[in-house]
Amino acid sequence: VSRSSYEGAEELGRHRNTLGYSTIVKGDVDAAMASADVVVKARYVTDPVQGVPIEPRAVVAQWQGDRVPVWTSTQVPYAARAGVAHTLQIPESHVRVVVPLLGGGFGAKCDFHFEGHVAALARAARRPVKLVFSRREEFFAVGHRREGMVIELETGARADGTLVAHRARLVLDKGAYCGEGGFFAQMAAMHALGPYVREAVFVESSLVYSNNQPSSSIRAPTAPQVCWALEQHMDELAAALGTDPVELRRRNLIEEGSVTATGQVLEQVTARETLDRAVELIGYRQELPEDEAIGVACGWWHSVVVPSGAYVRLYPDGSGTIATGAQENGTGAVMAMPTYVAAELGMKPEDFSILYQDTDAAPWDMGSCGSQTTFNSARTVIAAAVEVRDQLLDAAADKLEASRDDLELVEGTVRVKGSPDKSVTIVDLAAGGTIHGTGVADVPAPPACDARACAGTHGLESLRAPHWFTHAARVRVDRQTGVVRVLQVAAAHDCGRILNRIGADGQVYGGVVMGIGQALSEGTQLDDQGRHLNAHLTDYKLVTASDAPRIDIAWIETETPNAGPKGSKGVGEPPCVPTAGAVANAIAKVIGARVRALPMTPERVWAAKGQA
Amino acid sequence: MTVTTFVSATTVEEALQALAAGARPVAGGTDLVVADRSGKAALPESLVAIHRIAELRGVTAGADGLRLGALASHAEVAADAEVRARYTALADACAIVGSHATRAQGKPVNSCSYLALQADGSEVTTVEGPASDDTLAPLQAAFLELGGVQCGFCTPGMLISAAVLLAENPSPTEDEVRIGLSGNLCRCTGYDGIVKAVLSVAEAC
Repeated sequence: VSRSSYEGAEELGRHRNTLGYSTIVKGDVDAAMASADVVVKARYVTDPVQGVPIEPRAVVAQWQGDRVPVWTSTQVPYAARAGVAHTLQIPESHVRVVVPLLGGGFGAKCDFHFEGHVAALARAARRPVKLVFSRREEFFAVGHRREGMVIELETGARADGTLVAHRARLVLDKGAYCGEGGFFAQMAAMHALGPYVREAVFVESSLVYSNNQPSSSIRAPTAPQVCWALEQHMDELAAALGTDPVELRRRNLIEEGSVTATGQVLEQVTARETLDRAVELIGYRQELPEDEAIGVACGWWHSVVVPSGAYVRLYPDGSGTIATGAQENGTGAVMAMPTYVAAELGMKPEDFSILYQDTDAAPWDMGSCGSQTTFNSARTVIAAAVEVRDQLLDAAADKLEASRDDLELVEGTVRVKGSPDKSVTIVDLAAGGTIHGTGVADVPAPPACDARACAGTHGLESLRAPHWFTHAARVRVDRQTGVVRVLQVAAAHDCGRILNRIGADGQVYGGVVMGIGQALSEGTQLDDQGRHLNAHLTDYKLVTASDAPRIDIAWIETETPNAGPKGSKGVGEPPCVPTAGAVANAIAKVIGARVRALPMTPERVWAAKGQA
Repeated sequence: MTVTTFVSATTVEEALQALAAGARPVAGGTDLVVADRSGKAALPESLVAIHRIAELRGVTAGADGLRLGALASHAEVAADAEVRARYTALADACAIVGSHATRAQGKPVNSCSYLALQADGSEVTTVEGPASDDTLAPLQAAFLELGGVQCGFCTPGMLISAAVLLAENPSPTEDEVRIGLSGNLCRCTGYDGIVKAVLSVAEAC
């Protein structure tokens, strides 16, 4: 892969180097396209971007007999454990992975990466071995980048704005190895559909090997790039139809009862509500100076459903511990678990400590990826708390000689409803030290769908507890220099019930700002030999405090079928998905031309303006 | 280019004489050799090695503060029990070097590239400084309350930069806060909670 691969030379996907190929097929797209009144067609390319957690990777291994504890900054301790065991051909029970604290991840610390190497070196050296990456090494590291892509889109619509046909061809640069992310071809294909209804669809998505740095599941993998292209494409179609971009979306967005291109009947869809709220928050119809404009972008996301396990136990003093395999990476998803357990048991959150980030402490967990910690891990923790609750009620029913059904857990006691005097404290009930619960939560089955016409399915053809969202961005473009400044972003999201407002808002603030970086300044530049030209933070520019805009948030809270605990869905990934698309559409309005390469650097904006 | 003069000094006096004669100081010199071999930088003609100067070594924690020899290594600082007990962040930083901001004489400095000699006689505040016993300083509490912390990796540097900003400008505008913090990167928060926290403390003053 070289610079030219992303600029039209089409090396990508032409060398029998495909490792994943997925299609989404509905109806006869040729016939539908031929019947359309208006057809637009465009090609977009995206540079690879990096996860860039501020804390670099660090791993220490020190053998103790035939066991090897590994301390590592990973998002996925159990995958790391399996990786060490597999690499060294030792039993998993001989590997213990501990994460002291995680200084951010954003997917760059997903998958098993370097723990096995360090454990092998420590075994050979008969001493502890430590690996710490420099910032430069972070930029080359396996799994730290998103895919660069080539995205070709063609859409046909009737004169009234109804979408009829959609054709897409995507090529994703996976790099030299595929540790994880074999499903990206299908994931990108689903985002090339986006949350819209069409009569006929043909999407073809190839995940290809290259000689580039291997990619991995960076926050909402594949989605920001594909959403950026599709949402620009929607605006191009609106221009061709002479329709307002918001009206075009409102007409075609998926709604209650819509059937996806993979045959899934959708329930509880709030795509339009997110559009309406974002447009309202940004003041879409306001008069703006001629160098400013507002763009919008919509998108969808799926909930990741995986098993996990947890224990909750009470000490004789009445305090408790939650043992979970979940990994905290700063979102607060694990830190919030004591509040859920305390609520089940009528206790206080501070009564509970958390035993976590140690594979010897708790059952398997997928880790901090897929926005799944609250959705799956908290579900299991709550299930364990419910077992503890049952044990407390049984014990209290004995002591109080009352029926279980008449009891309630309030303020550290179990008492008879309506007779607060008849009570026993949890300290008394837990005095034996044997009260403990085990959580194995039910994993909901995927909703029915029909993907028989599609190739390369990995389960993403059926969306579980889907998310809906819209961002609107107001930007200012300096026409002389091509410099873009994002002034305001309105972000409307349906992530189910919000359990921790500050934590959820924090994901949106951080996701939007990451999306702005991807939109404007972040991109790994390659030379003609495919070498990185900007493997450092001086030329790979993250958004700073003075670049970050005002961000307004709207949460659309609804009852979603198959939702996580208390009606929640995940929230970590979706907020970074539609920002670049919204920014792109605003830029196009100001300069009267499309920037078809991501990031939309001043140079590219200036060049696009010249072609207007 | 080859090195023609190499002095291995054992006293500060000896090193100063060599420096006055135009020598460049080196502690170990391995980076120089690497740079020379890869053609990135030529070796200077005259070098003075300072790593044998005993008086530049050592870590001393006294009632008046902490004295670090200019040659004290990160490992020595991290391993010093007194330093760990009284200046935990410094010990942690030396062990893992994360955010380097330390406040010296009212200005934030990058502690990893700030020589102990330069700090001699200065009042140095690390991130523990503003808190007393178990009570967080108002700025720290505001970071927690308003979502200024997620993974926490940038937090020490942000707190120091914010404290310096507020000391210099007790009632900043939002733009002044954003510009004042733009030297510290955060990947988690989008800066929103951090900026709100700094402004909330400014308004409370």
